[in-house]
Amino acid sequence: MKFAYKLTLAILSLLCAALSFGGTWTIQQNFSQMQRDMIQQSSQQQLRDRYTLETKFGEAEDSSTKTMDSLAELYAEEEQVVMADSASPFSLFGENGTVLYSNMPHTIPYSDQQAAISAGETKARYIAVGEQYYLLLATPLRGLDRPIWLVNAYDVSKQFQERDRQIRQHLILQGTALVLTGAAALCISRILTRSLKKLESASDALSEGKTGVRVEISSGDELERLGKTFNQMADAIETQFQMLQEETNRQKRFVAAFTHELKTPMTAILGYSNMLRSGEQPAERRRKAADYIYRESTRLETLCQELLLLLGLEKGECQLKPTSIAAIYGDIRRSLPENFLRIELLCEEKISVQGNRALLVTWIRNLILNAAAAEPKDRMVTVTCTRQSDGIRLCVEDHGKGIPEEELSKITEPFYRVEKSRTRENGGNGLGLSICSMIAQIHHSSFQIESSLGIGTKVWITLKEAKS
Amino acid sequence: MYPVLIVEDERAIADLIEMTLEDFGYVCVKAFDGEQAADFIEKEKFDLILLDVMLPGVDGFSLMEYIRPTETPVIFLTAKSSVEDRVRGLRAGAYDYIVKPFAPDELLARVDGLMRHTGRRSRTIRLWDVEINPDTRTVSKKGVPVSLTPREFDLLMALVLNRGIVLYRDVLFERVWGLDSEANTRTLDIHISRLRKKLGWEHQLRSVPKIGYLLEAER
Amino acid sequence: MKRKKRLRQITLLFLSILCLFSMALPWVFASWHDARLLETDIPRPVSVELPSEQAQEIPVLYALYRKRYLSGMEMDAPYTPADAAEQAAILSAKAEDLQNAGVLLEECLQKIEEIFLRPSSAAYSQEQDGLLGGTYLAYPGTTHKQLESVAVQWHRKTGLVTSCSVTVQLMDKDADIFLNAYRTYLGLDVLTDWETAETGGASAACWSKSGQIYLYYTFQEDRLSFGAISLSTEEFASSFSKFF
Repeated sequence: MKFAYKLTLAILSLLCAALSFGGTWTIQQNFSQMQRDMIQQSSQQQLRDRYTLETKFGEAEDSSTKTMDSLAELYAEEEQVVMADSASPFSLFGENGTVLYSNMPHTIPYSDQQAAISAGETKARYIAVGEQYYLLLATPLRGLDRPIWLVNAYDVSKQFQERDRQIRQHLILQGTALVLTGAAALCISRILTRSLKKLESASDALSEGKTGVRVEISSGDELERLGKTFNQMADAIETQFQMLQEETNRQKRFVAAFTHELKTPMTAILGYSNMLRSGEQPAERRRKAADYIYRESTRLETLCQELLLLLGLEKGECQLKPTSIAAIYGDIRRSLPENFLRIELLCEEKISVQGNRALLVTWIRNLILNAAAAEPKDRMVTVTCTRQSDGIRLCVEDHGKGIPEEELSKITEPFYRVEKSRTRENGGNGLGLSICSMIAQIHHSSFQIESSLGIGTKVWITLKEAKS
Repeated sequence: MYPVLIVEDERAIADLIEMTLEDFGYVCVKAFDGEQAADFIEKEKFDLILLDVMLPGVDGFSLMEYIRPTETPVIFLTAKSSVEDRVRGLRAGAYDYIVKPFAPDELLARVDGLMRHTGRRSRTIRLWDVEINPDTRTVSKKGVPVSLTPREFDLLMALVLNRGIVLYRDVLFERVWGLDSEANTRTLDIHISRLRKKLGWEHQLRSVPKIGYLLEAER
Repeated sequence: MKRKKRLRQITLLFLSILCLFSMALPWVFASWHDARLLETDIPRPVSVELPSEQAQEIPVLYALYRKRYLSGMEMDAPYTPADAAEQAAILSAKAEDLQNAGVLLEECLQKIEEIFLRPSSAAYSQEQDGLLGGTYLAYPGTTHKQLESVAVQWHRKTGLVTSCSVTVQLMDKDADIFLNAYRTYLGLDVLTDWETAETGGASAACWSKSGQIYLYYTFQEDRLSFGAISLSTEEFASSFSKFF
């Protein structure tokens, strides 16, 4: 059910209950008040009757029933003249319930009148005869020779009718109020919850994948905040989605590059081995074929190893321990053969860093190999370790060909090569710099490259010093 | 008859292609990058260019601008197999598109097919007094048609494509009858002997003991 | 989904029924109330301040109270012209009773008789709610210009005088004695809660709460007046002094 309807229903129910209880209470209060007033008024009126009768009877010759009856009748007539319709019919009862006089309507049974007498002068009784209601008051006459009770009947039908009328009126009022309030409440609820509709349609759009869906709610209440939160959520979702997209794209590119890297050696290996198995080839061919098969296979092997390393680095954190730069330098010297380049390993003082020895060795080594491929004219590559304001800087520098500026952002992508043919000749798979970049990440450092064409390249990372 | 230009930066593959084509009598020239290729194209005329799309420096597609005026047919070699790349290649004017890894035999067949269709080679293969038409799958000796069963023809083509090389029996069988064939390799022997008889190649088509069969290359 | 829809429908139905019932509430309640009303006796509060049971037993007091209830404290029945001689006789008898009870001074009685001997300008009788009244107006003697009057009211049944006013000059009399005598005469000594009311000059007054009755005896310059008035607590508190 729509929220607006729920709201309206709730309001209507409450209103109905309130009106019902309120109405009942009010009508009842009115009625009770009318009753009390009636009883008071009637009591006072009865006292008048009683005192007058007392006076008259007191001055009468005797207290015979006949005398009483005629006096009473006289009085009744007088009253009729004076008060017309508001004269109250009365009965006079003597001892043992004998009726001395009565001008009560026949519909009022004597039993009820007797009951009124039994109730006494401090009580009142209501009786209903057909459609009429009467209030019966009984009071004893004082100061006379014989005990006489005066019972008056007051027609209170009007009160009951009035009350019933009030009930009917209230019913109509209540009905009208409910209808009108219902309509008004519905309108108002709808208007107030319009914002909800906005949110609803925006949510639908978002779930269908539409981008740029935002809501604008300025009602200045919780709905406005909800709208803002929704917008934030939509932003977050879109950002996430974008990130996922980019990640997927990156992975696609990786797979494509990887497959490409794989296909070339596979083609050679398949081709040459197929040739060898077909038939007797001349010796020269056989030698060439075997050579190529071997070379491409080793290439594949290196590719596998580098890829495993790269994937391993991507996956996990690595334990960083205090490692001395001197030890790292020692490993480097031992791992690289005596080759064409002169390698200078410089360090300011005895420095130790928080790092992984093997990975840092790989890092420096890969960069040295890259430097070698850049064919520096001075045939030298320099590795330096200096203390900076933000940590220990480990830097590899050469004066080789350099890297064009537009390629700098891409070179750490897996399989990316600046100049394809040359790297391949040297057995490179294009993963070297990706691995270096990963190693930098593991050491919580950024991977910085500076390069100018024809001048040289400088690569460095910043490591945390390990106080030993 | 002009040479075939191989433009491929991976030496292993360039050599492989050269070896495959040479056996079939094609003269090959190798270029290892775009500039080298452009030089060759300027200076010499070729019957066919085998072009690797992913070249360092000038890429294959741009090289097409050089090649187009010469009206030399081009077959692209590439590792990219997506439909867009194929269409792009063909649109650029390539005659055909081969995806790596490729079986050298397949390359040879395509090259040969192209050569014959564009008229750069004769439509038929001539060996001694036998003329073979691969398109119609007909053979004639001294002008007289020789009837061969389909298997015999396939076997003949396999031998012809690898002439001068002693072919191993099981590989030859595999080539002609397929990997899943349940037939006996004896049928290979029977087919060989039938061919020899039908074509009169008792000397040219020989069995090399413990190794296989050899169809001599025509000198 | 269906279950939820069902639940909603049921809730809606339930609420509607509840609403309808609640709309009928006034009528239902009224019916129940009426039924109870017709069965039981309703207490009737006493709205009027009554004299005590004991006081009500005293006929004259009760009569005065009744009269107050029916027609007010004053005798405002019309003055019916009456025969002077008759009135004189009646009033004279009353005066004698009073004198015998010690309520009237001998001098007073004489004065009254004197007035009766003068020719009357008018004589009236009154009657209201069990009280009778008579007035005798006489032309003044040569010295005074004012009419001299004797006016008396009494309870018909018992004959006790409830109000008396005589044109007479009496000086330096102790009103208290006569007040007490008057009280005894009326038979109101049985009431125990008489309060003395503050009056000025040569007058005495007292009031009883249980009897709701006020007695006064006043010697004025040219007049003697005394009487009994039925007076409620409220009226006593506010305006008793207006009778002087």
